[in-house]
Amino acid sequence: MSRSNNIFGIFVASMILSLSVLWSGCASQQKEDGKVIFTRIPAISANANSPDPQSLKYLPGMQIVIADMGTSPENLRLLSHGFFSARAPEVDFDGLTVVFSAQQNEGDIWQIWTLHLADNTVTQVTQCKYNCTDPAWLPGGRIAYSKQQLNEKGLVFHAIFSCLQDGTDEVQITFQPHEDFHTGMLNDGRLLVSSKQLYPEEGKVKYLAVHPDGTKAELFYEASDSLQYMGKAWETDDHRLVFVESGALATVRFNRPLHSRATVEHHIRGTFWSIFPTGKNNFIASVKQTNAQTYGLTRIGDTPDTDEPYYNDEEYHFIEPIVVMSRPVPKKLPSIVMTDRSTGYFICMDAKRSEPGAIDTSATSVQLLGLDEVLGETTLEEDGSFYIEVGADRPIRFQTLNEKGEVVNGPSSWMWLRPNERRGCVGCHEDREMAPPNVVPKAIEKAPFAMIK
Amino acid sequence: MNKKLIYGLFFLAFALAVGFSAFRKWAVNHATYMTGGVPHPINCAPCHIYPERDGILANILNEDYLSPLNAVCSSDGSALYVIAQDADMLLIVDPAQDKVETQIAVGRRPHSVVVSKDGKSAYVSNQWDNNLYVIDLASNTVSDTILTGAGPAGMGLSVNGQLLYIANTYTNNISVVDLASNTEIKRLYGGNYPTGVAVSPLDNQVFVSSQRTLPVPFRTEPITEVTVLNGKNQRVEERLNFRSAHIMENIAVSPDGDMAITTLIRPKNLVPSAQIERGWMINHGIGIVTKEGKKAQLLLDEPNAFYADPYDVVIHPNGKYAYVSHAGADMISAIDLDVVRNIVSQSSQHELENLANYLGMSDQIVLKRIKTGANPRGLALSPDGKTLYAVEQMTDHITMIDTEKLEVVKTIDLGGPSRTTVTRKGGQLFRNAGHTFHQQYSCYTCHPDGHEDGLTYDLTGSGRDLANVQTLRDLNGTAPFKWNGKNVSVYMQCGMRFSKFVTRTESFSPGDLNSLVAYIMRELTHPPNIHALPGGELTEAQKRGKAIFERTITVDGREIPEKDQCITCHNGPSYSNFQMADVGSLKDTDNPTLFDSPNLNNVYESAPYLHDGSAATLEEIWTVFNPNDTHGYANDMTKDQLNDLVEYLKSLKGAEYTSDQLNYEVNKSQL
Repeated sequence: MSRSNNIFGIFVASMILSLSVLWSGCASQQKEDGKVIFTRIPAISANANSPDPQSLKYLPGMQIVIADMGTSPENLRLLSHGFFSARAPEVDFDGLTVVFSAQQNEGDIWQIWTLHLADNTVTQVTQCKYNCTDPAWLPGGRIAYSKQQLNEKGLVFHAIFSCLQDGTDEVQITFQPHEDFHTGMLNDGRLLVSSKQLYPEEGKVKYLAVHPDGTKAELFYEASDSLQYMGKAWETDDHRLVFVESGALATVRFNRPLHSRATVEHHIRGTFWSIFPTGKNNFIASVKQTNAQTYGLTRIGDTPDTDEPYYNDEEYHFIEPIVVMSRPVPKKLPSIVMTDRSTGYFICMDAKRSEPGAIDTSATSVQLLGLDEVLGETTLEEDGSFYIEVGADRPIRFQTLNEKGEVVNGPSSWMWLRPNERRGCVGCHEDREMAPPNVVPKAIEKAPFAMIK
Repeated sequence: MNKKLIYGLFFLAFALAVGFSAFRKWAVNHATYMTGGVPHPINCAPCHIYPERDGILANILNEDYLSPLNAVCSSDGSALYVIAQDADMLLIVDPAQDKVETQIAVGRRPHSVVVSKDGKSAYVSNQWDNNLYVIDLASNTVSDTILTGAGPAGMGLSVNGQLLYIANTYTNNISVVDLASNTEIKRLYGGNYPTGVAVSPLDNQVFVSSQRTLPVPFRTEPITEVTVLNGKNQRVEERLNFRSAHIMENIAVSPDGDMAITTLIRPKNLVPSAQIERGWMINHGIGIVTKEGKKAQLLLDEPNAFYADPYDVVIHPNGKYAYVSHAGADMISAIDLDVVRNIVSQSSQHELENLANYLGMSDQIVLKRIKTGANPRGLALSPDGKTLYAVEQMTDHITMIDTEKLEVVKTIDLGGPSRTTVTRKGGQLFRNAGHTFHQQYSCYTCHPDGHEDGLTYDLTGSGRDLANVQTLRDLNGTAPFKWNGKNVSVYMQCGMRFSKFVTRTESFSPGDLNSLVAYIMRELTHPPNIHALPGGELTEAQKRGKAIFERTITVDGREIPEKDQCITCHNGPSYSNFQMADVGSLKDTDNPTLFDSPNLNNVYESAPYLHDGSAATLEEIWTVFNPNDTHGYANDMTKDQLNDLVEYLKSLKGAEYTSDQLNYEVNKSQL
C-alpha cells in the first residue's frame, strides 16, 4: 500500500516537474519574445564614430544587451556577460538562441558563440586561429560567419565559412581576395554577402548572393556610384531588402535588385548605422542626428508621429538591433558539392557577347587567370562558347584575347567554383538580366577543356 | 490449466512482438528502398491506398471537385458561364449574388465555352468526346451536338456570329462550324496541339495558338505555330512560327485588331542547365503579332521571380490593357499595352530577338501583379471591362478583380467540396511553381495536362545524358521510372535528387510528397485514344500491324530470337515488361546504361521518341535508329508493313479504355 503511494507520489512529482520545466521554457520564450537585442559601444571607443562598420569589427568593450522596447537605458540587461567585447547578435529562426561574435578576454581571438535566451547558457562554437565574426543562422541549424584569412602574399582578407553548432564540419564558402562578410539571409535560401575586392586593387562594395554550400555566387546588388560601405540587409514581408548604404536607408526589390534601388521613406534626419524591419514600413534603426551625438535606436513608422526614439545615451552608441521573434525559415537548398572531387565546370554561351545584342567578333580565345598567374587558355568555338574544367575552391578570373593575344574583354570579377559545381554565363560582361538564348553551345559537344593547374 | 493459459498468452504475445518487430523492420527497409533512402515516415497509404481509383476507400478518401477551367461573361455582364472540367458540367453563375444558378451536364472533359451573338445559345467543347454541345440558354438544356476533330478546345466566334472556329488539339486542326446548320463545314490543319482561338474584330482574321512545337530537327529550338486563317474565305492565310517558344495556350486580339497576344513559355531545353539562376531553365511571357507583321516575345518574369505557366490572356475593351493568368504562380499580370506597342514598334526585329530573353522587361510592361487563389486559368472580362474574373482550377473559386484599382474585389465559391483531400493537395502542388528555385516552373510546366512537353532537356548541364520528357499519365503499376529505370517509385523520382537536378531548391516535405505522388498516380490519365476504335476493334491496317507486332518469324520465314520480338519487352496491359534493355539506342553522349522498356499506351501522343528524343516519329525508331535490328527485328519489313506496325502501335491503349463506359464517338474520318 505504502509502496504504491510512493510510486504515485513519484509519478505526480515527475508530472509537476515536467510541467514546470515545460512552463518555464515557454515562459522564458514568452519573456524574451518581442524584446530587442542590440550592441552597445562605449562612445569613447576609438573608431566608434566612423561610418564604416568594418572599423567596428574588433573594437574593445562592446556589449550585447536586451531590453523591452521603449524602456529606459537603465533597464537594459547585459547578455554578453563575462566577455571583453561582443557584437553582431543574430537570433535563430525560432527566436530562442542568439549567435554572436565575441572576444572573451582582452587580446583573445574573436570567436563565434551561441547564447540560449531561456537560461543564458553560452557555448563557444568556433576555435578560429584568426578572428571570426558576423555570424548568421542557416536553415538546418548550421552557422555561417566571416573568418580572417592571411594568404601567401600577406594579404589579410575575410572569407565566409560555415559549421555545425558544435563547431565541427567547418567548410569554406567564399574563395576570393575580398573582404566578405555575411550581411543577411535571403528567403530563397541564399546567403547575402557584402563583398569588397582587395586585390589587385580595391573595388566597390557589392552584395553577392551565394548558396550556403558556396556555389552559384552571383552579383545581387551594387550601387552605381562608389560607396564606402553597405550594412546588414533584411528581407521584408513585401519582398524588399532594406539596408544602410553609406549612412542612408536604402531598399531594393528582391525580384529585381540590380535596378530597383530606392530610398526608404522616413522622416528622420541623420546618419544611419543599421536597420531591422519590424513590420510593413516599420523599422528599428540605429541613427544619430548630428555628428556630435551618439547612435541611438529609433522606431520608424509610416508617418512622422509613429517615429519614436527608443534609446539614446550620450555615453554609448546603440547599433545592430534585432527583435526576438520567430521568423520564417528560408529554404534549405540542396548541396551539389562533392567533396571527393577537386574541380568544377564552367560553360560560357558566347564569350563574344558583351551587352544586349553587342557582339565583338575579334575575341578568339579565353584565358583563365589565378591570383598572379595564367591558369590556362583555350580557343573559343565558332559560336563564342567555351566549356572548361577548373580547379575548385580558388579565385579565378577570365579575359578574352584576340588573335594577337591582346585583351579584348576583361579581366572579369573574381569568382570561384566549388567541387562538382557547374556554372554558366551568357557572355562576358553581359547584361545580368539576360536569360540565355535557347541554343546548344558548340563547346558542350566536346569534353570540357581542362584548366587544372 | 491456468499456467498453460499464461504460457500460451505469453508465447502469443512474444510471437506477436517478434512478428511486429520483423514486419516493422521489413516496412522500414521497404520504405527506405522505395523512397531512395530519404528519411521518410513509414506510411503505407500513399503508395498502396491513395492511388486507387475505385473502391470504398477511394470513395472515402477522395472528392469530386469541379476544377473550373475556362469562363466567359454574358453580353450584359449578368452571368458567367464556367466550364467545370472535372465535373463535366457547365455552370451558370450570377456574379452579383455569388451564386451558381444552374448546372448543366455536358460531355467528357469540357474545355471551353462561347456564347452566341444573340445570347441564346452556348457552345461547349467536349475535349474527350470530340464534339461540341449546343446549350439552349432559355431552357438550359443540350439542344444539339456538333462533331469536330479530336480534342476540341478553344473556340472563337466570327464577327458576324455565323461561324465558330474550334481548335482540335489531338488532331492538329481547326474545325469551322456553320452555326446556322450546326455542322462542320471545313477542317484546316493548324499547328501542333492547337488550343487557343481568337478572332480579330477588324477583318475577320482568326488566330490559333498551339501547345506543342512543330517537328524540328534533333537538338534544335522548338518552333510553335500560330495559324492565321482568313475569316472571309476560311483558308489558312499564314503560319507564324514562334521560335524557342511553346505552350501557347491562349490568344487574344486587341479591339482595333492592331495586335494579337498569346501566352507562351520559353524553355531552355538546349542550354546546359548548369544553373537555374537568371532564367537558365524556363521563362514565361507573351508573344505578340502586330498588324504590320512584326513578331515579338516579351518575358513577364523578373530576374529573381518567375511567373510560371501563363495560361490565358484577355484584352480590355479600351485596348490599353491586357491581363495574363499565371497558373503556376497564382498571379495575374496586368500589362500596359501602350508600352508594349511602343517597344515593338520602336525596336528592330533583331532587337526584339534580344529582348525576348530580357528579364528586366516586365518592369516596363507590367502594371501590377494581382494575387489569386490556387491555379488561376481562364479569364473573363465583363463587357465594360471593369471586372476581370479569374477561374481558379484548384480551389473551385472565381476571383473577381476591379480592373481600375487592380485589386481583388471578392471570391466567388462555385460550391465544390470544402475538404482538401490528399490527392487534391497533390494537384495543387503539381501545378504550383513554389517548389522550384524562384518559382521558375511547376511540374505542370514540363508535364502539361499530366503529359509531357515534347522536349529533350540537358539536365546534367554537361551535354550528356539528355532526357526526353516522359508522360506521367497512367503511371500506376508501371515502375521502374526514369529512362534508366533507376527510380523504383515516383517517391524516389520526386525525392532528394529531384531537388538537386530539377527543382533546385528545398525538397518536398514528406507530407507534400505523399500528396504529390497520390495525385500523379491517381489523377493523371490518358485521353481516349483517337486511333482506337470503340470496343477494342482494329482497323485492317492495325490488324496487320498487330500480327507483325506479335510475330515470331521473319517475312522470309526464319524464326526471330525471342529477345528480338516486339512482344518480349512490350507485353501486358501497359505493353512493357518493365525490364531494362539495350536496344542499341545509346549514343556517344550517354553514359553507359540500359533503358527501361517504355509503356506504349497512347504512344502516338509522345513524339519525339527514344530516351533522348532523337527519333522524330515512331517510324524513325526503325528506319533510322535500328540498323542492326537491336530494337526488334524490323529491317526485313516493307514500308507498308512498317506503316501497319505503326498504325497498330498508335492504337494501343489501357484496358480500361475499351470498356463501354469510355467508348466515345469516333470521327472515323480521322482514321
